[in-house]
Amino acid sequence: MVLDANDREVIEACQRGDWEAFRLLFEAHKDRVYSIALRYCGNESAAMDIAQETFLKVMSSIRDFRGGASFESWLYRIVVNLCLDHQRRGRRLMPFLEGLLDIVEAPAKSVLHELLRAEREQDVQRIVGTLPPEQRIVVVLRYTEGLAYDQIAEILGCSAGTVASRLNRAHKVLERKLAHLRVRGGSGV
Amino acid sequence: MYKLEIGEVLTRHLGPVAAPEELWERIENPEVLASVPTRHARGRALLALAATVLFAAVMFYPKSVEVEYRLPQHNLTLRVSKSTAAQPAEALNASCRLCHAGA
Repeated sequence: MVLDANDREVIEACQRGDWEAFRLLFEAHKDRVYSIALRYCGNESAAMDIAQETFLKVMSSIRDFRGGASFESWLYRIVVNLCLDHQRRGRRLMPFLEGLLDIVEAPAKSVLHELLRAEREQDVQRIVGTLPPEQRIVVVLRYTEGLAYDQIAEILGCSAGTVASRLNRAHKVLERKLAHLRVRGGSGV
Repeated sequence: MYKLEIGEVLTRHLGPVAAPEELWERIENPEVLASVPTRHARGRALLALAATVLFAAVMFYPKSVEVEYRLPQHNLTLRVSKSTAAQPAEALNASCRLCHAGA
């Protein structure tokens, strides 16, 4: 996760306030940021809020970024912290209300085949959403981003052993709750 | 083997997704979009509305329970409400004497 020469140039341009460079940076990382937010929150609107907040924070604090460190790790730390903050802000009632708004505002595109296609994904997403935040973020970074234990440890500021332990605990819970989605006889879900 | 399966399920269903196009608009015009309530803000508004409705229901719900006594032999109707019952005993006694005066 070390920046190549072009990335460094883009970041330096961003640090000088170049808006076009920021657009390039956004295009390069938008899917990654949005995916983490969506997989962590399980809610498209909340993911949009978090992704927006992430890039606004990147824009406002990119001058503080030191080129020696990994930009991706720095970006991951911002989005992870915003995900955890979002969780803390709307602890119990807000997800329910936001879910209610999702139902009320369900767009016309949510036709039956779309629902069926998304059903299993939502099922997994919902069950992952029941994990404690510190386990959930590890699962998201591992399976959405495919990060290695040491990369996750660097982002979360803990040891690789802690990451392994949290992932192991998450696996145990998910094994039980996702038993109905296990791969059977080579036919995946 | 089983952990591999769980890993496969999670990889398959928690994969990366494309960010919506409007994300850039939200970053380019944060001040314009600040006036558009976010999902979280709308949730809070809904919560506030529910609290207001609950408060109004509690405040305006009739607190008195009327009990109507019909005394045909005296051609009188006496209504005693909960709020009347909360008044001093003399006031209630005065009402009762209307019925029991001839008894």
